[in-house]
Amino acid sequence: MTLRIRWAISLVALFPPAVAIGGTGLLWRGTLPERIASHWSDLGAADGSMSAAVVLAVSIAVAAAAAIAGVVIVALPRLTPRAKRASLFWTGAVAGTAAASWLIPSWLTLQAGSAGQAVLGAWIVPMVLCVLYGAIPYAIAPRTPVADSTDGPPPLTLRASEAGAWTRTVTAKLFLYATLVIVALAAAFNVPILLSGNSGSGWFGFTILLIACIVLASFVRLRITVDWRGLRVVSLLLHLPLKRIPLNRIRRADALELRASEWGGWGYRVMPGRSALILGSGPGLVVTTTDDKQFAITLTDPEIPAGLLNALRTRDSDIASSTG
Amino acid sequence: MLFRVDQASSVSLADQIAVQVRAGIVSGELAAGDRLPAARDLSKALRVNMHTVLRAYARLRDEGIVEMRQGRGAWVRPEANATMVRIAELAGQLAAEARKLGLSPQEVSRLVGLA
Repeated sequence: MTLRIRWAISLVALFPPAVAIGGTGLLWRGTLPERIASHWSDLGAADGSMSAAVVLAVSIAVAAAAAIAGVVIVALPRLTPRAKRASLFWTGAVAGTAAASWLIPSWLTLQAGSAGQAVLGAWIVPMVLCVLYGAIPYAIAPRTPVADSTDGPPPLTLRASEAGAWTRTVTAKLFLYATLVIVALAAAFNVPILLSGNSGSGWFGFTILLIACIVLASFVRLRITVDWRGLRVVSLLLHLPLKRIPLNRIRRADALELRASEWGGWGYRVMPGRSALILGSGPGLVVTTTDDKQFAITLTDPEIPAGLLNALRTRDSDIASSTG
Repeated sequence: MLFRVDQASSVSLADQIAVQVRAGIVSGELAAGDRLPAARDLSKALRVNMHTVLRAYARLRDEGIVEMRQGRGAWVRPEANATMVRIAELAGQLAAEARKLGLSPQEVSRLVGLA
């Protein structure tokens, strides 16, 4: 529980740089000179300048892309918690650098009145140390995975003449919120950039956000079905199967307590030999295939689908052994 | 929710499906507003004819337990609850008994009105 929250907070911590850039960009819109300082050869006045709009667009696109990349890396890993924390550090460092390279020059330019008069001075220190911003999400992210718990699969028997099917529609609030965050980000940062008729970087950021949005939204409404064909998870939005495990590839199904940290965090996780749709900590269905791969999905009552899969599986193999 | 149908049972397949929807409502597994599986999907999953599932859904609709609309599937009516399901079951039993005795539906409804 606390581990989940810590992962979530560490991901949230990737976004303040992008938010700060966007916020100050709007705040200083009227007052900032058209060109801001961009290069210093010493601690004195700047000796180079760039268009403020370009610096703003590029830095916000980089900061937002870094933050989203961090979320994606944590969300889709064949990665250990350690590697994920490292990626949080580096994406945080990129976002922090992007923020500093917008905030400091534009603030100095604003104070001095023009780009040529902006004096760097002691601001060299935050300019250099901004990479350490990555340490914040790194420090928040949890370090350790948690141990497994096991329950026996509950019995359910099917007669030879009997057919069983289980179906459940779930709304994954996790993905709903993630989608809303991305939409809000796009609205807050990219739309103003696009409306101001600015550069390809605005479109680049917008496209990334749009793709992220569609991918996340496809996980919001899911239908999970267990029947003679096996297990299927279908996106109701896109009408696309997200996961399909044929019955003859299933070795066994279990109802277990799923912890996000054991399966690599929240969301759709892919790890070596394991994948999972973790929509929250709690009970879930874990399917082990004949080639010893595992798939897990959060469900409120996994005993029934687990029991049904095992019953279907047993009956199939009984029929196969009696006829063959 | 779990659906089971037995081809060897003396109860018709449509009745077996309808009974399970009613049981789902009584147990609280199906709440008001919950969508039933699409008839096409459920028929494939249970390997029965789609019209069998539709017949089951139509019966539940006639009992006032589910609502159906073309192209939008079937869902549990807001009014549906355990009591409704029980009344529908009792009505079914009454109708079956009345048929056995050769009573016409008008006579049965007159008796219900008197009760």
